Amino acid sequence: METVIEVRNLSYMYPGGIVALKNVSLDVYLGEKLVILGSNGAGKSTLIKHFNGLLKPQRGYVKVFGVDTRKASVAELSRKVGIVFQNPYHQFFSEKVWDEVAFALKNFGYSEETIKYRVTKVLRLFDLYDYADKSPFELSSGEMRRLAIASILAYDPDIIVLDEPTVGQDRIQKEKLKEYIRLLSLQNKTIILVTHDIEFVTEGFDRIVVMSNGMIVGEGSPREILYDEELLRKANLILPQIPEIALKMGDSAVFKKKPLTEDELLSLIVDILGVRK
Amino acid sequence: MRGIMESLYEMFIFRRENKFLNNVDPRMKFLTLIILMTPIFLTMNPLFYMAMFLFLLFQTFTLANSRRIFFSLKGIVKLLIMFYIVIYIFNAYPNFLNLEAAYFSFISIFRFFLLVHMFTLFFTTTYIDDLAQALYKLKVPYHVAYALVLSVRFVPTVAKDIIQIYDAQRSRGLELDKGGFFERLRKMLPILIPAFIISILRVDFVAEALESRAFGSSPKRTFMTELELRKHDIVYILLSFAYVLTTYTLIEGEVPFLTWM
Repeated sequence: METVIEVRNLSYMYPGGIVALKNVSLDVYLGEKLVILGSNGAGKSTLIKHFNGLLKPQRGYVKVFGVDTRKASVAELSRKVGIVFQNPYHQFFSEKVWDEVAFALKNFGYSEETIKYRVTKVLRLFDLYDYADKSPFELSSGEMRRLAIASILAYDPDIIVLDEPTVGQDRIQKEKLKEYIRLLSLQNKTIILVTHDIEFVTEGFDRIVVMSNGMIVGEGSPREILYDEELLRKANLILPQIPEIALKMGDSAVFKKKPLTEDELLSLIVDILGVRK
Repeated sequence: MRGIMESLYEMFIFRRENKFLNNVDPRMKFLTLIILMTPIFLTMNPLFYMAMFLFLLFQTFTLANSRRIFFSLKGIVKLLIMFYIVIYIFNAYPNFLNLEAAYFSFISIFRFFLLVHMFTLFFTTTYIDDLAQALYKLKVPYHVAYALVLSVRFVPTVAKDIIQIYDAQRSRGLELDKGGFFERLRKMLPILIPAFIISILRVDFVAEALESRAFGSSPKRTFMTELELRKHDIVYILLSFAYVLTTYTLIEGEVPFLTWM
């Protein structure tokens, strides 16, 4: 598997003396859907800000497609790594939704024709085309979130980082977001999702990295990580509902199958009870 | 820009630390701040400014978290250099090789730096709610004290917002350090507009939150922890007063405070 982001022995301390990252090492592979999971203050956002050079390593290094982030500008790295930040209010400034999406494309020097084509495409993909002439501030919170993602996807970065995208979203919006992630994955994009929303990551991701106190404390498949109660407790997280119910059932089959979705749990219960439709 | 905002953030944020100044009564610190500030406005003598700077350095190293204070000042120094250039241009115009203007501009900036240093020492070591209580006990009406405190309280919040906006826009390819002067000014819009919008929205949230908790329904109020004057508070203000009095008298040849009455 091709490594797209290589983090080695990365340490970072904020000016106030708060150590945000301690000796973090991580590889992100091409086309994978990776989750960086951790409670507030675990160092997740600090870590992803190193991926496009917003923060430069104080110790260790970060390489993106083999390029050391200390030797490249944020603009150069951002063409490869698109970060969708948590709060859409932190980026909207244009009068129209269209201009908001076109902003990055203009900065990167694309031709008018390409800008028109890409903005139209991405607005249609995210069901925002009808709002193209509206102000971004007139949109609902779900639409704003979609616009924030669209404004990054417009310039087609290879790696897309989503910082806490589920905050303040209802279940329907979360399901839609999952669908967008699936669509992006089909285009062989590398997705990095940063979250503390443990329920959201039970389905549709390849790997989970758990962070706590600026360190990576665990790494593995969702099935391994989301059943590791001790590790999650160490990271100030609690088990998702399905693993919690499954573990309370106490049946040996639970540990073998480790269900993560409602359907998997139901199938397990049916197996245990020996009931068939 | 990120550096300046990070400095501003550190400058106005209080952290509980086991340092002498963190434990001084905010009323005494506030009065000391006025005692230290006043003579700075009454003289432009670089010797006196130097004496004040040494006193502030002493306080920074021995009574506070020097690392945080120097970090706060580091970002501001960059701003001061820009201010110096602007002041020099105004003072020197039309003769731009002007030693007198260079000296006068330097003194003005030195004065400003001392004030920033004093306020940094004050705000990094004072819990903002204690400051509200201190002002209230100094007979300032609570709604006025709270408004003042609120404006200070939101400096680090706005600075943090600007850092996040700056990061978000740079992630979308905005390069502030490229282009001519007017081009760079124009590039500030994607940072300033979200900052204004967020601040305006926040004013609304804060007003609603205060009203829903019956703020101002009674002119009198009590506090969870009452401020108490202790011996070291008095020692701190007296020693500061003595230092200012002595150095000013020795350098300027007149006794401050008394001669102004």
